[in-house]
Amino acid sequence: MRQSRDFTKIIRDPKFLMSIILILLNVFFAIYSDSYFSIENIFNMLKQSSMIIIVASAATILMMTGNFDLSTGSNLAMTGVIYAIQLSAGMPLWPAAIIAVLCGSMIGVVNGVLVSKMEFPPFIATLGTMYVGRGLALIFADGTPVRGEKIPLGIATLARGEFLGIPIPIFFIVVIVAVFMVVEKKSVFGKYSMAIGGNKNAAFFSGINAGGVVFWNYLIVAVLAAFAGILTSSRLASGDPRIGVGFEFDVILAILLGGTSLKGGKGSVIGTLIGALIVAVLGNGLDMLNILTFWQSILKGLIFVFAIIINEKILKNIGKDKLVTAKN
Amino acid sequence: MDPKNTDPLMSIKGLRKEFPGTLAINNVSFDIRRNTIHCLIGENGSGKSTMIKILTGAMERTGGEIFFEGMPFQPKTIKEAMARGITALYQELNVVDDLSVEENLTLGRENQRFGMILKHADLSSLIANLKSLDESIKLTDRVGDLSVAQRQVVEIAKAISTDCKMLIMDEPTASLSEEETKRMFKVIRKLKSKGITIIYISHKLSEVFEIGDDVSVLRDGEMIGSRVVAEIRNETSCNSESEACLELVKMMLGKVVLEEYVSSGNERTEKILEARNIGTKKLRDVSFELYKGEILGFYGLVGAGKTEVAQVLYGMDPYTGEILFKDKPMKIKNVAWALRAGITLIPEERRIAGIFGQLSIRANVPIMRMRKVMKNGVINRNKENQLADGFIKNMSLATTSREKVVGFLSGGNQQKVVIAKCLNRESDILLMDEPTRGIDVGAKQEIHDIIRELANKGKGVIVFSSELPEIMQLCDRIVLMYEGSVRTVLKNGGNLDSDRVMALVAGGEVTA
Repeated sequence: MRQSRDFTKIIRDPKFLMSIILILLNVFFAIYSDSYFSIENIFNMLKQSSMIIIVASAATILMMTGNFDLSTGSNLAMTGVIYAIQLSAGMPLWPAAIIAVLCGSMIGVVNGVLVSKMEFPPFIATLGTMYVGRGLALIFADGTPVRGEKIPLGIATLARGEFLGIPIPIFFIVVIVAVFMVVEKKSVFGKYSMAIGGNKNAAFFSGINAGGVVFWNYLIVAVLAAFAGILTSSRLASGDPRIGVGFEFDVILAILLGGTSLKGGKGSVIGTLIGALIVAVLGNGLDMLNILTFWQSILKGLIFVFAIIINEKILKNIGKDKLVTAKN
Repeated sequence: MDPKNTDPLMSIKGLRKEFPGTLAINNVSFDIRRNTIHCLIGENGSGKSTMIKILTGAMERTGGEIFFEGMPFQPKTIKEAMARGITALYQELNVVDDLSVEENLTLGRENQRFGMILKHADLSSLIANLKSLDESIKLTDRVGDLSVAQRQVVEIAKAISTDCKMLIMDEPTASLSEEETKRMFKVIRKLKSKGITIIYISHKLSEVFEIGDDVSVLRDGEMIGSRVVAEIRNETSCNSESEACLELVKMMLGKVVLEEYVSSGNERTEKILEARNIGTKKLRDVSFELYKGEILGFYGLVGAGKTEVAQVLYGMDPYTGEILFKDKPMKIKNVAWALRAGITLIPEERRIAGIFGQLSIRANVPIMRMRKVMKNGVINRNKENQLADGFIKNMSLATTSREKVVGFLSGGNQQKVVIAKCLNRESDILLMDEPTRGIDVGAKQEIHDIIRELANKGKGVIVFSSELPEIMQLCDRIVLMYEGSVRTVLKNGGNLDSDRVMALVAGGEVTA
C-alpha cells in the first residue's frame, strides 16, 4: 500500500516522464549518429545551453511565485553589448563585467517595481522591458555587433576556457543549479516563493511580504540574465545586439517542461535542468543528423505539448484512480 | 471565580458601517460571552460578512465602539486583529496545497539561520495542537492530498498556535459531508475546551442548536436579537427542534408584508419539464414538475439548495436522477445541451454572469442567438437595431438610445437587458435566479409583470428567490427546499400564509 502510493507519486511527478524522454532522446541519437555520444560533443552541447540553464534556474523560483519574465533575452543582449563597448574602450575585464551586470540588473529592478509595487500583470510589465531592453541594446551598439581591436583575448576565457579539462561554463551550470536547488528546497525565500504562488491569501495571513519576495525574484533573474549576457559575449568575443531573440521563451519552455506551473505554487529546479537538457539534446542531436533547424522548432513544440498532455491528462489521473480505489 | 472572567470577551456597542449609498450595519450592539460558541445568523445581505470584516480588521467601521477584553478595539489591518488574538477561518481556505502540513503550520514563522530553514526545531507544541484536534493528520502529509475538513483543521491548528482568543468561523461545514461535519463539531468543542471563544456563522439552523451557546440574529444590517440557545429551547417548551428553528427564522425574516397573489388562471395541462430524484453533492432526491404557462417558485433559506437546482437544470453541475422534457428523458451534460433542450437561465449575478457591460444594448441582446440578426452570413445592423428596439419598447427599458453601454444603465434596466438577451433565445423554459435582487421597487414590479406576461404566453418559468414576498406574490406553486431536499410543494392562493412557509423552510413537519 505504502509502496504503491510512493510509486504513483513518482509517476505523477513530471520529472519522471521528462527523465524518460531525455534518456530516450540520448539513446536515439547515440544509435543514429556516430559523433553524438562523444565527450567533446556533450561538452559542446552543455556549453551552448549553459545560458538557458543558468537563467532558467533562477526563473524557476520566480515562476513558483506565479510570475514570469519575458525580458531575459533582451537583458542578455543589452548586457553583452554594454560589456563589449566597455572593453573596446579599454576597460579591464572584471570591472567591465561588474558594471554591465549592474546595468542589466536595473531591468530586474524595473520589472520588480512594476509587478510587485504597481501591480502590473507580469506579461505587460516584462513585455515592456523586453522591448525597451532590446532597443537600448541596438542603440548602444549602433545596430551592429560591437567588435574592436581593443577587446582583449581574455574575453573568451569565461565561455571557452577549461579547468581540469572541463569547460568553465559547466562549472557555472553545476554551481548555479546547486545553489537554486538549495534555495528552492531549503531556504525561507524558496518556501515563501512557493507559498505566494500556491495561495496568496495564505501567504498574506502568514505575514509574508509577498511584494518583497517577488521583487527580489525579478532582481535575481535579471542578475543571472545579465551574467548570461557576459557569457554570451565571451563566447562570441563581441557584443551582438540581435542575439537572444526568443531566449526568454526557451527559458520558459525549459521551466514548464520541468513541471513548474505557470500559475505558480509548485516547481523544481532539477526539473528545469532536465527540461533544458531535453531542449539542448534535441537541438544538438538533430544537428548531428544534419536535419534542418526548422524541424528542431517543430519537434520542440511537439514534445512540449505532448509532454504536458501526457502529464496533465494521463499520468496524474492514474495516480488519482488508484487513490480512490484504495479508499474504497 | 475571578470577577473579570464574567465580563464579556467582546462588547459591541452601536456599531455602524456606511458605504456610499447604503447602511450595511446600523446601530448593532451585542456581547460575546467568554468561552462560548456564539452563532451569528441572518439571510444574505443581513450584514454578517461586513460584521466579520470589521472584527478581523479587513474593514474599518464608521461608527460605534467595540471592546475586546475590556479594552477599546479598532483594528486597522488583519495583522493588528490577529495580534490581539482574533483570527478568522474563511470559506476559501488559506493553506498552500503543495507544502506539507508542517510547512504550512510554520509558514511565516520558520526557524531560520542565514535564510536557511532549520529542520527538526521544536515542533512539540505544533504536534500537540494538531494531534489534539485530529489524530489522523501527519506533519509530513502534503496539504493538497488532505480532505477539505482536514485542511480546515490544519488552518485551525495554525490559528490557535498564535495565541488565538477568538476564532471566527465562516460556514465551516458548508462543503463538508455529514460525517465530516460531526468531526468538525468535535474539533469546535475541543477548541472551546481550550478556552477559545468562537463566532460561528452558519446557514444551517440545526447547527445552532447542536453546538451553539448563544445566537445573534442580524437582518438588514440591524441586530434583531441575541439569545441564549438553551433559553429558546426551554421557551418552545417541547423538544421539537423545528419549532425552535421557526423562532429563529421569524427573527431572520421579520414580518413579511405580502401583496396579494393574483392567479394567472392558466390551466396546468401540458407538462414540459419533470425532474425525478435529482441528486448532487448538495441535493438529495429532488423531484418536481413544471407545466406550460406556469410560474413555479423555489424557496428556502440560504444554503437550502435553490441555486444548486438551477445549476443542475442549466447543465452546470453533474447530477444523478432523471430529467424529462415534454416526457422525453434527457441528460443535460452542459450549458449548450440545456439551451438546445430549451432551457435558458437568467443568472443571479447580473454584472458577473449576465451582461457584457462594455457593449451596447444593441450588441448585448442578440448574443444568445446571433442567427436572428444575421443576413448572408454576416451580422446585419438593421436586424440588430430592430431586435433591440423591439425589446426596449416591450420592456419599457429606460434608455436614451439602443447604443447606450449596458454598464452605465441602472440595475433594473440592466436586468431587463439580461432578460431580453435570454428571451431572444426563445426557450420554452426560463430559469430566473433572484430576478429582482438589488433593484428598486418600481423596476421590481415591472419585472414581475414581464414574468407574468411570459407565463401567459405559454412559457414555463421557474423563479428561484430568497425573498418570500416575491415568491408568494408571483408563483403559482412553490417548492420549499430544506437542507438540500424538497420539503413540500405548495399551491399558492387561498389560505397559504407566510407563517406556514416559514415553519416548513425551518425544517418543520409537513401537515395537511
